[in-house]
Amino acid sequence: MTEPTLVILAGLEGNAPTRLTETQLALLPYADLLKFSWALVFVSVVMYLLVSKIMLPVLRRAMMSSRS
Amino acid sequence: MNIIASTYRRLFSIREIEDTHVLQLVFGATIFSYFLAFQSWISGTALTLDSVARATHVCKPFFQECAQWYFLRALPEGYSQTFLYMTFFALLFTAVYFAYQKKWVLAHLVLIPVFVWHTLVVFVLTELGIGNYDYYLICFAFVLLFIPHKEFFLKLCLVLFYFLSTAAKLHETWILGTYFSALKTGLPLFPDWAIPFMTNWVIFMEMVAAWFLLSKRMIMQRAVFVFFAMFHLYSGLLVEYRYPATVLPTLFILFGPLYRFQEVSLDKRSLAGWALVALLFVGQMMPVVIYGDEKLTLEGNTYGLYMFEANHQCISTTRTVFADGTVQEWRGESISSRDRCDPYRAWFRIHSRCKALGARVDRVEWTFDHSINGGPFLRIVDVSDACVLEYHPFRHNAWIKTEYDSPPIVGYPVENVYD
Repeated sequence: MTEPTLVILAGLEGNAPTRLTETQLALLPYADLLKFSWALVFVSVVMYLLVSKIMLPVLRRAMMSSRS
Repeated sequence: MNIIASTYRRLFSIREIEDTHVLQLVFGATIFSYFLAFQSWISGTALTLDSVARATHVCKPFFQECAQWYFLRALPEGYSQTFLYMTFFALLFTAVYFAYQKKWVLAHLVLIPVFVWHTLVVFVLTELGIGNYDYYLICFAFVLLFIPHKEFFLKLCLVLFYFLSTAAKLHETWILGTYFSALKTGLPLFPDWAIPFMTNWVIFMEMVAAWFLLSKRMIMQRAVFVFFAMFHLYSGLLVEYRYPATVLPTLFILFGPLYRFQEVSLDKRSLAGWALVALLFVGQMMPVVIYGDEKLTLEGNTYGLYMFEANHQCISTTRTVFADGTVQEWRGESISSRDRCDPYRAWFRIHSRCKALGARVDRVEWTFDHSINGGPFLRIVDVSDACVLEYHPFRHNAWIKTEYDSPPIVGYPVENVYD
């Protein structure tokens, strides 16, 4: 494996390599947890909207029409 | 003639446009967006015969033979491209005239060739010079032109775009905000320590709060509308005019002072709209189901929304060994965070060159180093002959290393720029 080197790209000579900020470093151990939590929220929103705004009204409408 | 007009009116639900002021305004905003799109395309070279001759064109991964359909030449080599786009200019201008005259069937009719060409270019003919704002425009125009319950599905699509864009944000890019901390200029107007708070706030607003744009609770609806209006103006600090000019007018028309609550459309006529919604979900999930981090491999990345999905830097080097034994070396670098550094694009150009050179080239040795969000440069491609590689559009390509393959680190990037 190549020994890591600092790659200075054209036009940016003299700049420091990128570093995480203190806030990011503090959040870093929880990054996966945060990602999982947001994914859970994403799925929950989809499920909530699918069930409450589409499936239930369609079912309700189907039941109403079958009664009449 | 009247029968044709009435059939056309019924087929495309033109009555909705005739009766709804909001849809007439969206029609105007859509025409405005096409002017913006074509303003940049008229001088572009992505679709020209000369780009094929120079091997700078890039086809879609699922339609790699696109060049055989190219027929345009751009200035200074020719004027067929300017001729085509000035024809579209005339059509757009005619659509404005017919809209002004309230002749909505005719306005609708002249906008269709514009829609077809724009969609064909974005989804079939090229991989270059297009962005998520084109996806927005296609979706808005498709609903406006072809789908019943136009106002409801326009609203739903706009909210869905906010929501679906968060699927691309579930990554350290936005969870930690490393896209912006890796930039020389940071996050505009906010200090570096605030970056993760702001990026997670945006995820919340797009994933959860955006749905309140459709609410009947007017205070909540107005508050979210104001947030997104401000958000688009703010985003212009980086993305400039094109994206806000595509989204903000439609956002203002649909959710601003003219907003009215609408029940969810669930009748038979709404099936086309729901099919479109399902298609948007499928597109957004494609990069997720392809093996590996699509921010690193870029496989499937553009099938869904990919705004600010990662801050990219890359280095591509080739060593072309010719049949006569001569060797030509080339190195290309990209420091712009929004240049997606897609190994597919680099491969496509190498492959085009291989085909053009034929037996004169023996092999092309190729390495591709990719850094995302200020992380190390990872050598994700290292092959002895790029000419013999193939690219599969809907599954992982083994010659592109993912994070699971532990690609070697070859260096670290400096802070880069959004350019």
